[in-house]
Amino acid sequence: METKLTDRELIERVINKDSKALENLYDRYSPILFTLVNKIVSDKIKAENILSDIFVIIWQKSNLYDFNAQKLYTWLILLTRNKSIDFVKRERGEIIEEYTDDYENQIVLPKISPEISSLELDEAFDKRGALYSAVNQLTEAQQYVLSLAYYEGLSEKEIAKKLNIPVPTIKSKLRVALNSIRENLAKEENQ
Amino acid sequence: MIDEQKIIGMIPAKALGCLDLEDNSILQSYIDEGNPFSWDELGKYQNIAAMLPLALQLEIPEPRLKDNVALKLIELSEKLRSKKILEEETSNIPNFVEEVMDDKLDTTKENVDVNENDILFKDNAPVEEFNLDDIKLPIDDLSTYPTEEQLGSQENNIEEAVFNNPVEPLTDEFVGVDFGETIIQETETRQEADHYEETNSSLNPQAQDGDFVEENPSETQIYLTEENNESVVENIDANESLVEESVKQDISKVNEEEITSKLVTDDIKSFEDNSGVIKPIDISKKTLNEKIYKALEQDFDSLKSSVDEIERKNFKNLMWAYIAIAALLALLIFAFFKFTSDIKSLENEVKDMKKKVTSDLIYDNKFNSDSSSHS
Repeated sequence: METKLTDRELIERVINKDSKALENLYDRYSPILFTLVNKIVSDKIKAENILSDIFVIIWQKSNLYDFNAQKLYTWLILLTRNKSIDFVKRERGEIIEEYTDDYENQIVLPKISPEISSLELDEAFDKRGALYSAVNQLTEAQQYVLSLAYYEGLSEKEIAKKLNIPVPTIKSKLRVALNSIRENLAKEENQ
Repeated sequence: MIDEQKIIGMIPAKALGCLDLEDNSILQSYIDEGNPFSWDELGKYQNIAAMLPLALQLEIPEPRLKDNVALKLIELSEKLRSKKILEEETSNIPNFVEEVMDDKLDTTKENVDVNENDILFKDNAPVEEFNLDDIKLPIDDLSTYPTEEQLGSQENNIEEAVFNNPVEPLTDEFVGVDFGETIIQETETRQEADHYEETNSSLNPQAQDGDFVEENPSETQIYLTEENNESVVENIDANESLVEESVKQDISKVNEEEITSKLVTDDIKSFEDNSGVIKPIDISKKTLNEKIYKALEQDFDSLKSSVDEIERKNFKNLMWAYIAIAALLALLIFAFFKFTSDIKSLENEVKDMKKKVTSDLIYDNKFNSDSSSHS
């Protein structure tokens, strides 16, 4: 019986242009990635197109993936988020810069911290319950600011303008929200 | 000096991807300057940001999306492949032409045994204005070209060959032609070289076989005066136009390479006759391209004619089949009518016989009844 490949093994094979590995990667990641894209673009057809574009990027640009850090899950999520936000902003006319290969490498491909701790999809799913409760423990304002920043792609200044709140307040709300989630997750792990 | 606390305060926004452009450039320059940066902190925030979508209600994409992704990837790879092939082809075609042209030029140079460096222009003749493409062959030498009859006989031979072997690979054809051409040039140019040596030795008795170029460079170097230039240009122009005409009329079906080789050797002759010197043959790119084009055209023509022939044969066979079917049909109809008429006549006969039988019976009955009443 074939053992389940780790994220790292999968991406290594994808880099070596193993189409079967890409298929496995799709089977493993498409639900979470599709959920994220659909949340950002709020259109199933567009979400499908974007998701297929993302897998094309993975196929073409996986060689830019840094093996020093075990970060495929984070890399894929942030890539999907960046691509979807870019699409939405282009639709809104907020980005007029031509979408080139260079642009994709600089803006769409995420720059992950080299000192990131390992996080695989299964591990992330295991923490799902803890994440629910951590997010629910946030205030409504914190949740809203977080949503505007993460799913709508607004910058701190844009959020401040939209909510008519000073920028430092937005900064602190975001920081507090993330710290709160982090602490709650840590608590759950310890229990 | 950038405040370190300010930088630390930027990390959550950086991880969420909502840092303002201004702040982002400040952070980037801070990192680029090599200042200590809390990568670990950024990594932790990035992991949390990546976990946020897990709080959403999971949606499964349609199964067809997987096929769409596969199709997109196939399209992409096909595009890349075709692009690669196109690039290779564009780089290979000129190389091929250059190679063939170089081969031809090399052969010519070897055969004629004249170095380009030996060609000088007397009295500072305008070198730049002298263009080999503008040179015209002398009209006097038109007699050396194949006559229409000769071309006709060659054409017949080639047509037969083409019908026997309608589609020949281009490369083979070229290889064959090249050998033929080389042989002709070798024999003819050898004769011309001998003739040249004889002439030269008579003019210059000191000159020895094979080393006259080195011993008397001043006399053996080729001088093209302005007068010579003009006459040569006129003559060659006239000849080239004639060649073009003959090519347009007949060459498409005639073995073009043989004629070209013949013309090339004729060029040498005419050059020698006119100016008394041997000059490298002008095989320009244009002529070579024309040759390739005409060879291809010839292939297409032969293919077309063979297809036409097959179509004609098929049509003939089809017509015969139609005629046979029509005849059979007519025969069938005739047999049918004959059969029905026979049946009808038989029926009539049966009816007649029946009538006859009935009337006889009636008569007999009548007769019997009459006789009984009498009795």
